[in-house]
Amino acid sequence: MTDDRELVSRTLHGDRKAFEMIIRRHQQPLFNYIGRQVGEQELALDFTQEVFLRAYASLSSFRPEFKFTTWLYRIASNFIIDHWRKKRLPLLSLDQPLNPEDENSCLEAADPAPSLTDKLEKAELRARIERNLKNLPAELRELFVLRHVSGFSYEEIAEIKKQPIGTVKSKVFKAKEMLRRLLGGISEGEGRSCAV
Amino acid sequence: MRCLTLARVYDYLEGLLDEQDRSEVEVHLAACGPCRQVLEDRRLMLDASRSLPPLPLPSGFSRRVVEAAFHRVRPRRTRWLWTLAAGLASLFLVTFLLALLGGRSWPALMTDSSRMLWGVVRSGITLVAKAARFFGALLQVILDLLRALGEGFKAFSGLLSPLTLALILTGFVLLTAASCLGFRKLFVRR
Repeated sequence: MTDDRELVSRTLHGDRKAFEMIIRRHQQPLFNYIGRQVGEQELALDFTQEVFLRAYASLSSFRPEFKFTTWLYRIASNFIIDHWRKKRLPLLSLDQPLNPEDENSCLEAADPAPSLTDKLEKAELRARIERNLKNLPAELRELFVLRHVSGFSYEEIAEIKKQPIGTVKSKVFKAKEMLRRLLGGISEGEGRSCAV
Repeated sequence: MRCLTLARVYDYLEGLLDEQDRSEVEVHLAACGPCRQVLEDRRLMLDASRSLPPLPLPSGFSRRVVEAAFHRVRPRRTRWLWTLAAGLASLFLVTFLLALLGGRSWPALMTDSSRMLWGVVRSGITLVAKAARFFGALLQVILDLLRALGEGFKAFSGLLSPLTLALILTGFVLLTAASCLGFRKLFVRR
């Protein structure tokens, strides 16, 4: 399969086919990522198109020593942040405080959340995850999707978001536990279980 | 034995632990039912997240984007030399065809075309020379203006204390930096 860098170089020389190959390669994962951020199909389509157009317009600024995917998702992420800012939506929900102790909480007491195994079939679980992703604060949702839906490594996410790896890991952890609680139908705080 | 932390459970599930830590976790899991239950629970959630179905993308999307991209913007690599050459070639061809349709003989046609092309080149050179003279004059005006500003500043600074002068200069530098870099970049953190 042709390397992204080579396709970029060919596009810069006016090769339409090369740019189409880039789009075909990245359109579905990028659309999934954007769609799960904005939640509306039509808006997600417009945003995905706009991200590709922006990438095309600034293709000459792409440096081949970096990964093309990381560069493309950074454009997408900034575009979505601008969208939230314009809509004046909070990037991190203030009424759902995050508990830094959770990360180090131990499991000596039984996990109070009802077990997912007992409750749900896999398809039902997917549907509930899809629904509950919308209830995560925008920033945590984005990081969760990048890590556990799109499958980026923490290093790549740190590169995309221009944040330290430790911060990214900590936020993804919070996103996971918040989502877990939403899936279990219990509120923030009830699920803590530590007997240190 | 002390139970696992949630962070460790996730690190284990995501394959982020080294060999030794992984085997320690496995030893603990073999003996601890509650931790096993939490691990299985989180594994289910992460597996389900990883296998969420793709969102439906309409067919022909890539073609639509390519059309929009090549219609709307061009990558910044310019090809002005090719454009200039193509323009000159078209000009020459049109002149040639018009002259041919006018019933001129071949040598006369060549002479006239060359004369016309030379006329275009000569006009171009004149235009460039005039533009150069204009920009020279403009540069001179700007230099005079800067000199006058320098003189004015020198006279003004004589009236002020060194501290006030330093404050004004700092303010000026900050304002210039903010204007160049953008106020948002300086003061708003993403």
